[in-house]
Amino acid sequence: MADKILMNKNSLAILKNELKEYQSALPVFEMKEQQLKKAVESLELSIRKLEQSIEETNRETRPWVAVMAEESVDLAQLAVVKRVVTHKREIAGVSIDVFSDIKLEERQLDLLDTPLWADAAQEVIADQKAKYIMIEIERQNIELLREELAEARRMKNALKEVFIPETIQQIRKIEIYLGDVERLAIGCAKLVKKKKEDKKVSL
Amino acid sequence: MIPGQLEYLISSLPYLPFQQSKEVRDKVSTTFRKYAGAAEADKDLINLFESEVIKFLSPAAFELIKGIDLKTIHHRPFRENKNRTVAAFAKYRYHLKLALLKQRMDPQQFRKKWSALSVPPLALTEGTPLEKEIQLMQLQWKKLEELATGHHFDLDALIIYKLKLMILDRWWTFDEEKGFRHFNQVIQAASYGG
Repeated sequence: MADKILMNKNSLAILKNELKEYQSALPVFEMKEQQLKKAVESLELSIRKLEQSIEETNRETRPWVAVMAEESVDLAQLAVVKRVVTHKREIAGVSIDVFSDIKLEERQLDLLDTPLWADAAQEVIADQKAKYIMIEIERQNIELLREELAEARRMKNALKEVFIPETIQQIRKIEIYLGDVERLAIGCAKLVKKKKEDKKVSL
Repeated sequence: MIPGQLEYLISSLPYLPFQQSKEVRDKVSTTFRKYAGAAEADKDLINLFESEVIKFLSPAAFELIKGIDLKTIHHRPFRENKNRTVAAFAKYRYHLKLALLKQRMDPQQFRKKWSALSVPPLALTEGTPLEKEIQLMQLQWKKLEELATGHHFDLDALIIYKLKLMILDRWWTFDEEKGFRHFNQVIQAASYGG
């Protein structure tokens, strides 16, 4: 774009072609921006729902959580995450991780020596851990989508605010210039023709 | 052991009601701390109790009392103990644990491992895990009350006192704020490597 433009029909054709490409690319970036925006909003909503669910489980656990103050049970060892199972999903060209499951370390509780409450604690801890992991995955996904969204926005704005208007302007300049040249040529031709006719009359 | 010492010791121990109140806990704890003196005041309740009873018991009787632990009393050496109270409570707790195990384990696995035993079902009323723990402690408390019949100022009474103190000591550690803090620390430590 910064190169000096040659004021000829060839340049005009190249610029018109570029304009066509810019105009067809613009809706693609606009659509990508919309898709990414929607995806980010949906992930933000999913995080809010998970946070609400964590709060709800905390509220339900509160009435009996006092037992977890008992030092004889190591809460951290009740549900140890061994592996987080995810699969890939593509949103507007961005590959994100989708939570499938968490695999816990297979540590059998010594049911004869651990108190009864350890069973319920194990279940609720695994459940809450899964939710915290899901939130972490969604936050990482949002970060990826936001980077891509910023890029799509930059491209859309560059096309809309710079490339398309500048190309239109250059096309107009060349067209005016070529129109002037054409008119000048016609004027010259007419002048030559008139001079020739004047010469014939005087002879 | 000088005659009458056990009577004196048992009479001087604070009364233990089956209650989870701060008032009772403070009263019991203050009494034991007073007996122990400033040097031992930072010991836990069970240690304070043992520090007090050692002054009045023969080495053998103290060894028996010291060895009693709620967490291990269901083990075979206690179930086969010469002391009838220890053996009776150990057996009761063992059966209680087996009944719980039956509820907690996969039925097939339970049958495979404990087929030789007939375990009576345990009827716990529905409730939160905390309520169930209290029910279990209450069942053991009742058993101790039953075993206490006829024992007022003897070693068995002291054994029963220690077991009751251990039940209460465990119950008194149940603390909502502390428990919630532990719970939150554990669940928030979960992380996804990416």
